[in-house]
Formats: sequence, C-alpha cells, structure tokens
Amino acid sequence: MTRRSLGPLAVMALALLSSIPLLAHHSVTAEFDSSKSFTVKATITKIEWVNPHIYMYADVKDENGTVTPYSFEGGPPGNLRRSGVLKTMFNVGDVVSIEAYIAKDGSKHLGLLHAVHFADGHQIFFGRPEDSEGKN
Amino acid sequence: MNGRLAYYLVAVGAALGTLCMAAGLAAQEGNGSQPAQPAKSKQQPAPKGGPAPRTADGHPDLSGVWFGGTAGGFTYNPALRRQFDAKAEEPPQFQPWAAAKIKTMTQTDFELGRASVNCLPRGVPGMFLINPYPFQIVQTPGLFVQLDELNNNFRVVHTDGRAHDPDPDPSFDGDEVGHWEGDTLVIDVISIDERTWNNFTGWFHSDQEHVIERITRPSMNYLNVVVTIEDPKVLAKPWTSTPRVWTLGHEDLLEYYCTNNQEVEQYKALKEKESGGDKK
Repeated sequence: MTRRSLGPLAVMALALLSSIPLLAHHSVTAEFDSSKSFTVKATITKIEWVNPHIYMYADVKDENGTVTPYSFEGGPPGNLRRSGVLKTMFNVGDVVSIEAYIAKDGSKHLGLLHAVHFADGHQIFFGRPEDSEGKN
Repeated sequence: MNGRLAYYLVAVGAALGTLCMAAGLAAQEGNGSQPAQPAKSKQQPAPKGGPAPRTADGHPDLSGVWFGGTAGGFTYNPALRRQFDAKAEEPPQFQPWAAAKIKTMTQTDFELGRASVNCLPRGVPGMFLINPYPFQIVQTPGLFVQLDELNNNFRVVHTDGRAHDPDPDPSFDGDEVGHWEGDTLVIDVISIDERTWNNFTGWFHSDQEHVIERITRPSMNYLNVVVTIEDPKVLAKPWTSTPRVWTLGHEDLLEYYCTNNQEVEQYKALKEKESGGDKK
C-alpha cells in the first residue's frame, strides 16, 4: 500500500476509533457483557483450540443470502476440558445455533460463547465472562 | 505514534469499519435476550476428608493439586468458587498519596495493570489472592515446591528456617524463605518486582513490600492461606487477608499460557485517547 492511499484510510480508521471504544480480547470481563446475549444460526468455518482462549469462527447467512463472518471467543482450553467441553465436539462445516454474549464495544460480529445448539437437539454450554478470570 | 502502532490502528479501524458497514445485514436474532441456562450443578462443597497427611518429619503434608473454592475441582458454580468472605475482610488502608493515585485510575488503567492483560506472572502474593487457576504443591522435608497452572510458573521455597539472601534481586516471587510454626508453614517474602498488583483495582506496591504467607491444611481436602502484607511506603498499616480456601482436586494440572498479547496496545491507545490525544 502506498503512502498516498494510506492517508484516507488512516483518517477513516481514526474517525472510527474516536467513536468506538477499544477493548482487549484478553480481559473477557471487560470485553463482553454477561447480561446480554444474542443467537445466530451459523456454519462453523474454523476452530482454534488454543491458550489462553479458544476461538470459533462461523459464517452467518441472512435471508438475502449475504454471508457475514462472525468470531466467537471461549474460555481457556483447560477449563473447558474440566467442564466437559472438548475440541472434538465441534467440526468445521457443522450448522449450529450459537448463543453468545455481546461485545461491550458494539462489535456486532463478535461474541463470547455461551452455548452451541446442534440440529439434533444436543447443546454444549461454555462458561460466563466472569468465570474466565478471578473477580477478586 | 510510532509506525507500527499507526499501522495497527489502521488495520483495526479498517476491520471495525467493515464490521460497521455489514452490521445491518446480519441475520442476528434475540439480541439482548437472556441466555439459556444449563442444568443446575449438583456439586456440593468437598467434605473435610479426615485429618491431613504428614510427611516423614511430622509436618502436615501440603502436597496435592489445589483448586480455588470448595468444589474440590473445577466448577462454574459461583458459590463453590468463592474462596473467602469479602465482607469479613478489612480493605487495605493506603497512605494518602497512594489512595489519591488509585483514585485517579480509570477502568482502562485497571485493565492496563492487570496481569492477564499484560501476561505478567501473578507472583507473590497474587498467586494466592488473584489466581483463578489451580496449582500443585510438592512437599518434601525442608522443601516446598509450588507448580502453577497459570503460565506454568513455579516457586521453590526452603522451609528449613534459613535467613533471606542479604542482597536479593527483585523478582516476581521475591526472595522467599519458609519455616514451620506448629502446623502452619510460614513463608516470608521480600524483594518483590514492583510491576505486580495485589488486586485488579490498582493496589500497586513498593520495593519495601513484605509478604507473609501462612499455609495450613486443616483437613485432608482443604488448604487455607492467610496473607499479610506490610508496605510502609504504600500502606498506612499492614493488611491481613481472611483465609483463602482451596480444595484438593483429583486430577493433574493442564497447560495454561497467557499469549497473544497484542491487545495491550489497544488499551494503551485508549489510554492515550482518554489522556487528551496522541502523545508524541
């Protein structure tokens, strides 16, 4: 990207930054609002089962056929394993209903995983934001 | 603003812009609704489990994998996760200058000070006060070894009553020596790295901080830790915690590392904005 083309983009980015508070991905209590959730029907596209937090990516298709990629964050793999949630329970291509907590910064396509509901009726619950980090 | 940060902000801004433009098109439903709930946990607090075991030298054996709270393992149940009664504990009394400094801190400052944002070790005494992950104690006569799941940290403390190093370097776990007072293991810690906080809301400390940890195993399944903090530069008087409760788990530690820490740059940018603009 040339210096000439970077200028307007930088202006746009800074304008956006001035209106959208940035919050860290690391402190999930700061990033997500555990009192508000949303649900989307989505197709899982990628699973990253890594420390310190797992990520699941999924495509959401609206009634017009427009596909929007979503990102979902979860807890540490160790805590998930101890609560019975394993990487092998999810597969790329699975069509699921994902329930997640909203991001406090207003990002529409980012959520903290609460539950994944499968077509056959079984569901897998994740923790809540305050469970990922000690509050005291 | 340096070039790397500028590039980062542009990239983040562009991504946010894309998200904003696409926002109205999402097939999102139920926004703002209350989430479904899993079946209620039937977990109960762990039983006492009989008397604590002892090592060959007669001291209580603190060895085991310990989880914060009373569940005897990992749990999402907040009542079982609770390690102490906050209402029964006196808050730290700060020197006026320290209280004034903490009062000026914003939520962003708190986030910037969090070990989980900076990927800093919890250190002493954070490993007992602000650590939601289990640890394992391996004890032999004269030695206390603590293995922390959090960042795979460890500490090795001699418990033979030896004196502190006369000239220790600052470190996250400090210079620590142990001795037994009856059935209580007392670990005395000085020379603690000043980058750590003792809570998530601004309790910073000085190079004069002196921490005394008192560890007991009142029964097979329970471990209690009482922490005293003296810090004449920052605290108006010493602070002593109520007992922090840990319970014996029956599984091995797993691996946990704080990585992927570029987000701290976001907080620094936010702090710059809150401070009135881009400081060159």
